[in-house]
Amino acid sequence: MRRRAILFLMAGLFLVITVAGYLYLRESAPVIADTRPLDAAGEKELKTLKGRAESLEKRLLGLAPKSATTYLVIDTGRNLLFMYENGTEVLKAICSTGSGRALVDPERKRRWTFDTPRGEFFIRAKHPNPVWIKPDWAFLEVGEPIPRKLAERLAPTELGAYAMDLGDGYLIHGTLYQRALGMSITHGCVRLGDKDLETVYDKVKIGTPVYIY
Amino acid sequence: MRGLTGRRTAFGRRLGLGLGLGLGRGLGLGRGRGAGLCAAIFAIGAAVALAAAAARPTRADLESAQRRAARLESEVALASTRRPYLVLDLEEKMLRYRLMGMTMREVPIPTLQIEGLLPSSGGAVASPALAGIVSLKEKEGDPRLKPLSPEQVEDGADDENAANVLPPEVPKEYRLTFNQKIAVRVAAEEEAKGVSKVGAWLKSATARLRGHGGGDEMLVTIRLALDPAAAVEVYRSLLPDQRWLVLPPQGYRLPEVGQEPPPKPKAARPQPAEPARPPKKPEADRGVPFAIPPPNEPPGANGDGGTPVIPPPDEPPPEPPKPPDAERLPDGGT
Repeated sequence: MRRRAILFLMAGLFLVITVAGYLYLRESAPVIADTRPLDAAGEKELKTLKGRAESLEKRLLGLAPKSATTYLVIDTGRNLLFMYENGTEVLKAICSTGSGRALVDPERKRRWTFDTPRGEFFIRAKHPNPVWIKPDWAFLEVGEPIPRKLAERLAPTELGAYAMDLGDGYLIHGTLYQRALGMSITHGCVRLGDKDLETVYDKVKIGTPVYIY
Repeated sequence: MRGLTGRRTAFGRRLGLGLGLGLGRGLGLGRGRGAGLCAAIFAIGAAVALAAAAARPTRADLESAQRRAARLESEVALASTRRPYLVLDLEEKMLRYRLMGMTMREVPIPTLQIEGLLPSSGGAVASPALAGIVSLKEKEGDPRLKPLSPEQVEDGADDENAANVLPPEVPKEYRLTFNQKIAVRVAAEEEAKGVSKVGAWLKSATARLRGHGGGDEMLVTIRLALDPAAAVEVYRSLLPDQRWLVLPPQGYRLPEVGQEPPPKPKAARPQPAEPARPPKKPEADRGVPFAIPPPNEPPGANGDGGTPVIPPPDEPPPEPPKPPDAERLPDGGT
């Protein structure tokens, strides 16, 4: 009886090792390169492909920003803002970007998604001492009624000392909530700390490219 | 084959010896020296022949060139959209964020498991099989799929730790589905060493046997084990409809999963120009409300037939608008 149990155990172990070995070998099997030489047609195709690749490479390089410019790069995953001048990183700042949350207004059947947009943008305007006109979602989000008067929507300190307009209502601006920097918490804008905001504001011009990914 | 090689070697040796003796005699060298010289010549010849064979392009080179061209074709099209895209390079085990031809970030993939790729049999392979464009449909646990409830909104009014104030939580392991029959599972994993490495491998192998890697009707499933911080950052950076470029490793190709054709290029947004500054007035002109017009000549006197507009002398110049203390911004912000 005991011998039989040992036999079963051994057989089970053997089976497990075999399956594991098969899976491991299947995964780690190296791909053997085909080293057979090419015929004349193959060599011609290779030459054509190389030429095509080189021209595509040039086109790709042509799309990148010119190195002799100032531009901003915003990494939404790490919540970092970089500033480049002449191809060199001159500033790395912690920022806050969109939370990706959604908010629904059941009454008027509206829906907002708080994402920071991705792609290529430009600084369209620079505003010192910006006053924020709070949109409807800012009231809905905290369960407050939407005011009718414009004066009730004004928030003079919320955006910090400066704001830079990226278009479509998205801004790079300051924040009252400095400890939330580094978190994905905004409604789509990019928030910066006071010192970094001032540095960026001073360096960028209208038309400075901003790349967000 | 071995016999043939042996015969060739023996023949070569005899030939070499004969030639060496002859050459040695001709040059007035001894028997041994002649053979040595000949062996050296043969060695150089063999090395040259080997180098020539090595320099000759092979089918592997052609496949590499096909892959490179396919990748670049897709990349040029994706870069022309002026939106970021991700390159999942399964050969180099790297996830790259690219935008307009620039590599914005590279995330190494320490552990990678792929199922569903086909071996590339050589010969002509269509570009989408070597560089497939797919677009993200959904990330598991995406906060945008669950809008805030009225209760959460109410809580947010007075509690700074409420759901709408804190950033959304990122799952430790999440699945990404695409509009194509391809799924990517991302897991945050500490770097495993020694026994724990074997344990991690067994865990992932059993997960795959259970169909944990994406399963369903997916044709290709990819499992990426990333550094925990990188896994969170990748999750946060992903938006629906974001395009990915999947590059299979050398020797493999993607099956037909419904790869997208290269997207159409998008025109650049108009770059706003810095507003033109009013020209500086010379010192002497300061305080003069307007420029003194040219002398009034009768129409046609200077040959152009036009009537010059002269501002009335008593009218004060229009005042420039006062710069506001604080600028009001349109709808949007924060």
